[in-house]
Amino acid sequence: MKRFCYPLIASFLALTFFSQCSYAYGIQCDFSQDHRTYTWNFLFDYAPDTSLDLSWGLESSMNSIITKRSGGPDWLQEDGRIDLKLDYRLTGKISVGSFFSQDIYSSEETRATTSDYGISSEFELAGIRFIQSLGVKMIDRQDSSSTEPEISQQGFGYDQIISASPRILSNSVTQMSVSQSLVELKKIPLQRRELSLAFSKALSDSPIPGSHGDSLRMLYNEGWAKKRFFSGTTQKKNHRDINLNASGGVPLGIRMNLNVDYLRDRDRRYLPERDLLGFYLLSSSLSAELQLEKNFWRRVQVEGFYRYMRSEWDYLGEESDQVMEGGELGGRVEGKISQVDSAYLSASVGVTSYYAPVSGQFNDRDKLTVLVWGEYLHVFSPHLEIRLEGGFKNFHLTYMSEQFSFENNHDQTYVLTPAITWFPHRKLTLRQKYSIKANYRYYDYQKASETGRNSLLRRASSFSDLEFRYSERMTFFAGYSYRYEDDGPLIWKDQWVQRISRDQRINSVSLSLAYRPMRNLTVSPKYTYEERKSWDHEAEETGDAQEKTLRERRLLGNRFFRKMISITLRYLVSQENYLYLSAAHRLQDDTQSRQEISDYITVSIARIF
Amino acid sequence: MCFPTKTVKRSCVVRASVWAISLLCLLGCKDPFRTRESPPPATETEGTWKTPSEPDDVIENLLYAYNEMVISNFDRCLCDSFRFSAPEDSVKAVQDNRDELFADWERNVEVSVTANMFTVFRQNTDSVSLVLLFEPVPPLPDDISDTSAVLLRDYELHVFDMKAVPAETTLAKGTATFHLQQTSLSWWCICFWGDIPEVAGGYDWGDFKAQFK
Repeated sequence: MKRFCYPLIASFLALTFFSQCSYAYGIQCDFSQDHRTYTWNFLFDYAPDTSLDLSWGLESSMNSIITKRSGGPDWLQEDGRIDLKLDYRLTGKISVGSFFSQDIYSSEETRATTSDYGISSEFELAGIRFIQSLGVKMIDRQDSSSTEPEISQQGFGYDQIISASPRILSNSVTQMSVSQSLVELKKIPLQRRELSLAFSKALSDSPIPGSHGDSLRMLYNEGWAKKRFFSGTTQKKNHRDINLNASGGVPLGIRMNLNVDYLRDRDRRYLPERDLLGFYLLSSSLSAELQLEKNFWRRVQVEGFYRYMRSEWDYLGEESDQVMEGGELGGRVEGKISQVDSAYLSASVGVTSYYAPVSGQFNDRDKLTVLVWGEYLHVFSPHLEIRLEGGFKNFHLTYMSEQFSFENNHDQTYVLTPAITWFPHRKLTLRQKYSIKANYRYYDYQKASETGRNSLLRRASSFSDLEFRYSERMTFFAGYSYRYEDDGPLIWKDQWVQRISRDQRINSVSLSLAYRPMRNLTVSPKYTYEERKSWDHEAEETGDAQEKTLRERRLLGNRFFRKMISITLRYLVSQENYLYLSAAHRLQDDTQSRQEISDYITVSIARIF
Repeated sequence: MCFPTKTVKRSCVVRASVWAISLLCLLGCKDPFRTRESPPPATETEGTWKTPSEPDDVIENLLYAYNEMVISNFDRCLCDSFRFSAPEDSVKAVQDNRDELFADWERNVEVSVTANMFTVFRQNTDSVSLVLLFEPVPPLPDDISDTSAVLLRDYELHVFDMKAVPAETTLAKGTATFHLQQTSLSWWCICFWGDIPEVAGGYDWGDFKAQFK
């Protein structure tokens, strides 16, 4: 923190000398305490908007985290950055400047600091822009916990960027750039080169106001880097990524969007002794997505998509080589059925396959996923509406090896959530929601098993909420929820039958208030209480030796309760200017652990001047 | 009589080209309805899995997935928005000029690294093995609300190298912080995993995982 104090003090002092200029600067400070972790964030941004040829800017950020540990020292981590830039425009096309930046990372006894300072120039010639910078880079590495000596490196750094935006076609934007970086540090030299090409063209104007017209966009990036680690290992990396996006109208009034991404990275590391190849990885991925959409009668929007992806990790024929390939087909329909009815439905099905080309099939597997989700809203009157949501998810995993096919399984989840909202009075809103959720998990080759591997979990919940707007400044909220849950093994007897092994009931109450004493200020106290009880079901043998029967016993397993009181203060002028304070006190206890009392505090301030 | 202008002709050519590319893509791509044929099992090896209706079930599933080396079960413990962070190891990586080692460690990286790790250990069962343990009593009580939870677990990860003479055991110790979330059609899953070593500069889970990246 000390390293950043001086520039910050200098910047605040500088503000007084530039008070006659219009400028924009912002400060954001956050503090939060969560369990035993205390986090501070600080952001400062200053960029005076002067009409002079001289311009400068300062950015600073700092993040500090303290984690308190029981039975051990506190753990501290900090990272921060400061950037200072100065530019002077000599002519309309030539400018010179200087820069200073420092990055700091520290954790306990370890500290890494990187500093850069130097001069820069920028000029434009025949539509081509040249940016160059020459400076000094300094790196300090300290590790008090290690016997290794402190490392300090200093050397020259040079960066160059050549960019141009030629006008090739009408209604198009083309951008090209080539960049190079050199850092001459004795132990950790770095070289980097990058080529970037971008082209986008509007193919036509859209006839529908507000929607996008036809367009074509292509991106190509190629990079190469060579660097050395402090351990002596040399790393060479190649990177390539290509993106193609086309969007436009096709016959029958359908809009189409096609997006293709290709990524390729090669990473080689050479050991310092005899320059041997110590590590090799070639990773590549291709993904393509085709979307079609059409609007019917300006009421119903229909969309469909197909997504394909393939990724490969090649360790040069090592057993770790992996291939992943997946395809997904889906769509959605959304629209107004009538003046009072609207509906939404989405569905998708996809298969992802994993291969291990070298190590053999033992971990090869396929994953089939089916997803369906629907929503329906009916408005009876301005005072009453009903909403129905429901969905289904099926996940089928199959192994290609007889070593693992015993694990082939289906995992299915069903959800249904009806909700009613009633506005009996302009000041009063009542909501009642129910939710039913069930999860079936069964194994393809273990249907007859009664060991409990095939299982069913069921959950039913009820939520009741009340909102009373006492006045423009004060609103009361009250809520009650009840949840019942049970789970147990599934047994196959011509159909699936569940035997409950555990059930749980949860009751929860919450009361809160939102009070606005002033236009931008809101104070919200809140109280919540939750009680949870769970029971275990055991089978007990009764009767004599000749006539034994099984009787189920239900035993209270665990009882848990939680009380929490919190208060929040929010002073909101805009998204960039606000003050937020929150404090909470929580007490919880259960039969299986000791009582716990916790406090939480969060403070957040942001200001743009 | 009106003839199509050059602009209209060019636009039609571009559209037709895009249609053709799209159809070619579709024809060459993967069938989303069919999985491969799976052979009947030769052995009855069981992976342990419990429907994650509570946050603690996710941690239990992760523990079993690690010890049994079942990558599909491990994969399902993670949310799509998963991120891994090892702040002290990140600083050590910056120290070594390997800034990118722990950067952007998202779900696909975590699954790929763990799959790589499981493959190495499964293929060399006669020479290496690992055991993961969580302390039965967490350092702090679990913080669980309706849709989010924070669980802390002190862990020990024992890695045995049986080919070394004498046999070696590497121990990673530290505290893992798991942030979990629950959505309507899904159950609990891990969206954030933070790792710090037990002692400053000590060998931790992040150091172990980085070997397989």
